Amino acid sequence: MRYMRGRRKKDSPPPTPEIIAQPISDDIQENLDNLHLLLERCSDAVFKEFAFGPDLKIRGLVIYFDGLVDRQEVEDHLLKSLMLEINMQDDNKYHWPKHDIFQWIKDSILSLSEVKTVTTLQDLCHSISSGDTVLLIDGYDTGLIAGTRSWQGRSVQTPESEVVVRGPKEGFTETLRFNTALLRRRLKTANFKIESFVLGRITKTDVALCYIEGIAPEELIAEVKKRLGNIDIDGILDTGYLEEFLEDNHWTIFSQMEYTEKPDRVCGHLLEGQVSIMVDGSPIALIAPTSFPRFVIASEDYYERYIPSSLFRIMRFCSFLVALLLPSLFVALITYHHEMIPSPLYLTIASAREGVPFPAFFEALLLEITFELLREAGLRLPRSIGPAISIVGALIIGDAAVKAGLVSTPMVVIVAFTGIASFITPSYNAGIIIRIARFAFLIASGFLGLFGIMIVLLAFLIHMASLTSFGLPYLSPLAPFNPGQMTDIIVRRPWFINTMRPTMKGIRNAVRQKSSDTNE
Amino acid sequence: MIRITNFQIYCLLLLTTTPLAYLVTPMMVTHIVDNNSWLAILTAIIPGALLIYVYIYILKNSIRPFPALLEDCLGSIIGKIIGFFYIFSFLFGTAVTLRYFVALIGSSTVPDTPLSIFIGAMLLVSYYALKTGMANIARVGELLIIFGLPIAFFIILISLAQKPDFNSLLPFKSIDFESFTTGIFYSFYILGDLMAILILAYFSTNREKIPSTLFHVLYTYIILISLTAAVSVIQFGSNYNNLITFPTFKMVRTILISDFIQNIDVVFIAIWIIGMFAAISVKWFLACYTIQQLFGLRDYRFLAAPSSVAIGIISLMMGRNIIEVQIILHNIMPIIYSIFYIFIPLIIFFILLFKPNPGADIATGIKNPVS
Repeated sequence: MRYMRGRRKKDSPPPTPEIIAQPISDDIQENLDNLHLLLERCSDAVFKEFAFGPDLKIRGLVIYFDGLVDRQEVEDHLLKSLMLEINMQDDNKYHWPKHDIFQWIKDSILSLSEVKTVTTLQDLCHSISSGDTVLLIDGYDTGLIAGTRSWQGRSVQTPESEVVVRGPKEGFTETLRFNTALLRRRLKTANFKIESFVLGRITKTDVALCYIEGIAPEELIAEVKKRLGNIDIDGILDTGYLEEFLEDNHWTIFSQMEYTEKPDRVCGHLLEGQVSIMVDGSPIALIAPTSFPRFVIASEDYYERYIPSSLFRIMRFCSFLVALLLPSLFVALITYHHEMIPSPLYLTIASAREGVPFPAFFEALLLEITFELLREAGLRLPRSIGPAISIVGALIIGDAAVKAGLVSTPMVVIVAFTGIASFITPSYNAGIIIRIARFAFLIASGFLGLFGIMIVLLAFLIHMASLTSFGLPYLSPLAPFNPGQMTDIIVRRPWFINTMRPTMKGIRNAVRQKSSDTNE
Repeated sequence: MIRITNFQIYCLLLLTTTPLAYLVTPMMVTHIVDNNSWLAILTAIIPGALLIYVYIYILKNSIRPFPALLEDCLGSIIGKIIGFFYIFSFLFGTAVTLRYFVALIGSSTVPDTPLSIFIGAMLLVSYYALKTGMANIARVGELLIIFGLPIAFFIILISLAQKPDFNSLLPFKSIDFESFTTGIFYSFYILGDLMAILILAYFSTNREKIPSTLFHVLYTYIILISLTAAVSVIQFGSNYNNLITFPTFKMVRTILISDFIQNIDVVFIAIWIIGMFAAISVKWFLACYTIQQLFGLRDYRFLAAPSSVAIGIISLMMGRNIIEVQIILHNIMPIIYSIFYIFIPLIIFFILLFKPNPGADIATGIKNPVS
């Protein structure tokens, strides 16, 4: 048995890694055998052998994966051309080339817009996995890749997480090419570049790096490419995988890249010199670099007139603070600093809390956890019943808890108000940060009152100030302070005076309006 | 090497000098010169400006940052010995600031909590800031000034609107010049903290503008502290003001808006905590940086951990109660400030005055790059 284990059967085929590393052979039968071994037990792999040419002496082989290609296109522009139309030509009119049939078929016979060549079995497999069709011709050690990609995908829809009243309502889909097309439609310039990468040893996922040449800093583009190049993982299934690889600082709750489902928002960022990274199979585009204050900015701000937009933005900043600090402030006030609360108000709160067996801190913690549970359940429940269950759950649980004397009504009001305020933040990742940080503040206020809140606030500020996003300080333009740019953070700067792009290290064309040095 | 902007330097210097002075100086000066406290503070602009000129001259004529310049001016051995004492002065300054702040918090905000908890929490945050580097402290400092300074002025403005009695500022003429001079000194000596510029200037992105940055700090300091002193006199009158331990604190406590917002001294303290954090962090940085330069170490950040133990123990053992800490602050700190931040820089100034200008590129005078 010991000897049997290590011994290979004499006629057994070479292992897959050895086959896949081989170049395409000029013997079609050898290629066919190798491909059969490679694609063994791949029931969706289609091999179509055929003969064509004078006296049907030339053997051809078409390979593709069913479901990834447009079969109509394969049949009409590939098989039909080679098997039928080419043979039906009159000999006088039709001159078979004496030497390079391969080049002639590539240039003159295949009526497809995208035709490339392939020389290795590895590239061949990658091409067919991506939805292309490969044509092999006997006697030639090169294959032809026909661009026949077509698969069922979601159509362009309104993104559910970024609803706008005014502005484009299109959202990205799971197909990378559709997504890049949505960007290209908005950025009608040759300077808009989409560089492709293939990441993931097994998934071979297509990744696109988008930027506007002449605006985006070269150092930034080079850095993103470098970081993408350093990724060595078996699979990339979503932009979330990339985000963690690309971030400057990994050990933090703060997201250092923005993400969006809206092509208009990506275009807005690209026009400000940032870059976007998209992944095939994900409707989310990453945007880098970014800073924390930008998480409070909504794309709609730039579509609405500047005065209401500015007021809404200020309100959003306030609600951000409310969502972060309100429960902890309330706990600190009624536990440690009740002298600050006017007597009538304090009496009202005290009478409402009469009979509640828990300290305010524990009461707030309990309600906050319940609220988070309901929110999480609302996300995971089937869409048809999710909202109903979460609303009913909140009402019933809240009402029952108050009636049972477990929690007080002021605390329910505070937690509910905090919950509403946390939904005002347009960025989902900022919302997650708020949810986590709120608990830290709550615990600190329970132990040390306002002092505790300030200590945690300081710790967060120090931590945030230490972060960077591709070299951009995370708290910019607040710190380092940039008064010019602050006017487009706290409020929305009117378009007619918004002449410059946001300051970014290495930005190549900072002028937005009335500039003579633009690239086009 | 780290680079910090002049605005960041302005913020750091203001945060080093002002938070403690905001609470302490009006009280100390009012005890000495009664209703003329604000005038004494205002007059402190003159010695303050002279001190700034001294620092600027030192900066322009030294090739290396503090404390290396001590060795350049006083010789290697004496320079190192004095530098060694500077380490203690910075550590002691940090400990006093921390202890005073904690004593106030402990007595007014959360009275039943042991002081060691506050000291531990504050040291932990400052330690974290120090570990992340000077550039990071500078960024946080910027934030604190952008939000904190308007609030400080706003509090003064609201206090002024409570029950002002402008007659309390009168009479001007009854000035005892000896007490007035003492009052000026007490208003002025905290400006010795501006000595931090002898280190910070070497990280500046624009060293030519450092003088104007220093003067901006001086103006802000004088305006803020003199206004605070004046408003507390206007509010309480000089006699009652003399009896109050913390006039600034009391001034905030009396604020009442629409018969609803009241006793906001806790809010004031909460904001003041942030200022104190910055003051502690900068002084602590100076201590660590001085150790690094003196002993030619590669980095200063690893010194934060051992020095935190020293600061924690000193601040805990400093005094049994706030009165003892106040005695240290009123009687010992002026001496330390006078010797280390005023007198020794003056000696260096005179040495440099008679020494030929090195003419070297002063921007490259740092022994080890700081990150």
